Amino acid sequence: MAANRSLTLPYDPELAVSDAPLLEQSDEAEVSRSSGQSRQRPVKVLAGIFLSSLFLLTLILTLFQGQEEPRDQSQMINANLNKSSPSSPVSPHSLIPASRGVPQGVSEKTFRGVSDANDVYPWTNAMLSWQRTSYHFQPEKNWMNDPNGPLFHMGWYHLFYQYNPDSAIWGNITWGHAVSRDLIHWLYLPFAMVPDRPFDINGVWTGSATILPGGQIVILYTGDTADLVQVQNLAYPANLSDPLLLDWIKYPGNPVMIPPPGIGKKDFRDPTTAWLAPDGTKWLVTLGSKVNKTGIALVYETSDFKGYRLLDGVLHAVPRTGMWECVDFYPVSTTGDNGLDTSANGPGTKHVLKASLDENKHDYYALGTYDPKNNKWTPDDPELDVGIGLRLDYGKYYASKTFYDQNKKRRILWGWIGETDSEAADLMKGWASVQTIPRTVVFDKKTGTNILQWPVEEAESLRFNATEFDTVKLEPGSIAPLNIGSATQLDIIASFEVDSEALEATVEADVGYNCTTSGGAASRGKLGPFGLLVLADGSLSELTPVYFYISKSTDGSAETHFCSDESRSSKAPDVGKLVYGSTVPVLDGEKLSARLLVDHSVVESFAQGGRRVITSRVYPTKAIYGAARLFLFNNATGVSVTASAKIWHMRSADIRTFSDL
Amino acid sequence: MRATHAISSKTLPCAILVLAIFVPLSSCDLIHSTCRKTPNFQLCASILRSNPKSGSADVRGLGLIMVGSLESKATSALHTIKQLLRTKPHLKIPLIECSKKYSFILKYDVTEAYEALRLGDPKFGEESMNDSAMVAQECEDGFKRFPCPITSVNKDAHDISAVAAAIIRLLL
Repeated sequence: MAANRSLTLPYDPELAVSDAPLLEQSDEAEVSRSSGQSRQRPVKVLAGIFLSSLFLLTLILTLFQGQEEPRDQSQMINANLNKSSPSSPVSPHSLIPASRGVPQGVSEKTFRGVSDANDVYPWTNAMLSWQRTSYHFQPEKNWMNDPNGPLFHMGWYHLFYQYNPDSAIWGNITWGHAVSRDLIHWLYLPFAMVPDRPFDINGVWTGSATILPGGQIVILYTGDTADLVQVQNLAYPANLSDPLLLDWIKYPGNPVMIPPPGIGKKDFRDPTTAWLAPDGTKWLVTLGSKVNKTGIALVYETSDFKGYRLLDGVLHAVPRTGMWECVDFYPVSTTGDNGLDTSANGPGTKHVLKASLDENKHDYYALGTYDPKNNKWTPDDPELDVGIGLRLDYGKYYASKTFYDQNKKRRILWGWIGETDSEAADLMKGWASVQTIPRTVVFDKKTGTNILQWPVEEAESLRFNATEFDTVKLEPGSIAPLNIGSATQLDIIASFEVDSEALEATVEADVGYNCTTSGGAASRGKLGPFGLLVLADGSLSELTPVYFYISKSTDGSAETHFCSDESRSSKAPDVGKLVYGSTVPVLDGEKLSARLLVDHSVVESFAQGGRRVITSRVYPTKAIYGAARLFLFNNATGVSVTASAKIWHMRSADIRTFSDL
Repeated sequence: MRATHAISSKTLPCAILVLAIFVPLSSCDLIHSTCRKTPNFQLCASILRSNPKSGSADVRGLGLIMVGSLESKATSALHTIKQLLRTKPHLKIPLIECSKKYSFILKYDVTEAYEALRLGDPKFGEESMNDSAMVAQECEDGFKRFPCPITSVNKDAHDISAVAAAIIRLLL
């Protein structure tokens, strides 16, 4: 039963605005001719004058260059500052919290001398151990990054992953390995591959699996060689009839692909799953690279996975997107509901091309048409091309990879969720990074312009203790606690209806709203924000709003935004505090709906059936364990909202080592 | 002929002068264009120019030099802190914290940046250099009530880290 309270939310929007610094827009001499004199004199004079003027010019240029840019540079830095956290210095009396500061990888603030410091919140073991997830895949300890070679074989789903056996920061990369019957309950296995050959001694990096028609499995992966060159290597199971695929053989003839002419030795990595060429006998595989600042996907052809021929041209290229990492390329059905084998093509299919952009650590995708005869993929909408259009996930999410699950005929998507706390905290807690709950991927037939992602149905097996809240009326500026008990492991499905009269009556509202620059849920508009407050403590000193925000332009068209606001998620100053999100298409007659998976320091939020997804990392200091609460809220000024929610508690997935090896 | 002879004797030093201007100008170009894209041009340029390897280095090489400079700075910071622990015992608490922070920078941030640059996945190096800049700042912030005896060390470490991060960004 939800108690409705009309409350002014405990943050003053004006304060909120002033807390968030506005984005600042960033950043001779004469040569005398002699006539009739001897030749030697003019040459000497010429030479002397030429050299002096050159010298002067050099001096001037050096002085000039030395002065102008640094000022521009500081403007650029200011423009990229972390907008949400107040710039209060951090006191040292704590358990080594080092601030990662700006998780987007932008240069830090300028150095400041000692000033009045706020007390930093010292990380306790209780706070740090709470952060560990309960039903997301993560190793027992240490660092993980990209998911690798996902596949289904003999009743088991396999996941491999980039892993550092020695530390909670990146380095010494091996292939970790885990198996599961249901993509949820995972069992750790020994490493599949370690860097032990000249062709991968400096790193066994990301790769993909291809299952051939006869059942043979091949893996192509990037190796960093003894000479620090990125190459592609072939590996295959030592024993194909082993359901656990414990042992792998690296093809002695490796590498099978080396950087071609014109491609940098360090710009050649992450081969995809292969698909059949039009002739039906050869295979094609793609991997990303760059030429200057143009991101590209190269395509190779092979008949035996040992010998490769680089196809002419590129599958696709997009200027100014930089290096394409973890390229993914696969068909989706425009008519059916199932996933498609990676080799499918023809009428009723579109192809998704996806790249992880090294420059901004985001995953982008686009829908388009694949013409294998000409080795060309063309986006449906060039304005929303790879790297400049839609993102798979608008939060902390990278290096994603799909596979075709032939068991249940689904296309399944894995993604790496990194940390947004400090490296020091990662080292203290002894681990860094988790994987998302695997998501099914289908074409959105209703919009035709995006894919839909949704947690695999097996996740529902963790649900217990459902609580339903029906038609909770939220007046402007109200919150409603949802008393469900423990609130750190939840599966929430919520829908929201905005008072249609008020919506119609509102002529113009917040044109130009943008989740990332909005200042979060504290910024009130006529038609938003409203949604859920997760990982909130009772006094709302810490809270993570996941919300909708409607903006309307004067021509009457409305835009719906879906955001996840970390700006007040934690009192600790050394964690990411960004507001993530984007617009989300909402079709006539649709209610606004969201599904949230809350699992300690990870929140995965899905809007409109998975049209847009946001993964957040949250590190509260108070809203943890029994103190974490859940609320509905409506911070709009001009509309009431009616909300419904069904909330399940989620069991632990009990991820542990495979015991009978 | 005498006139020609007179030219040759003066042309050679002129030619040397020309070379002396042009040659450093071309390798200075990369240092210039790289350092202009960092938050501290002067620091960047002076560190790179004073390193003999910078003349033939590409951007990645310049990044490695800068990470090396941070390593030296952090190492000498630890020595300085050790001495200060003897001479300024009233600053023991913040000094010990700083010692931990500089050890952290050396053991983790510098190591990760070297590896990332060496192996060719530079984004991890950028993250660790951003992290290191903040860690240096935290050392400074520890001296809440007393003047910090190592402010210039902290500022250098912070700025070198920020410069290194900016150089690495150019590789992405």
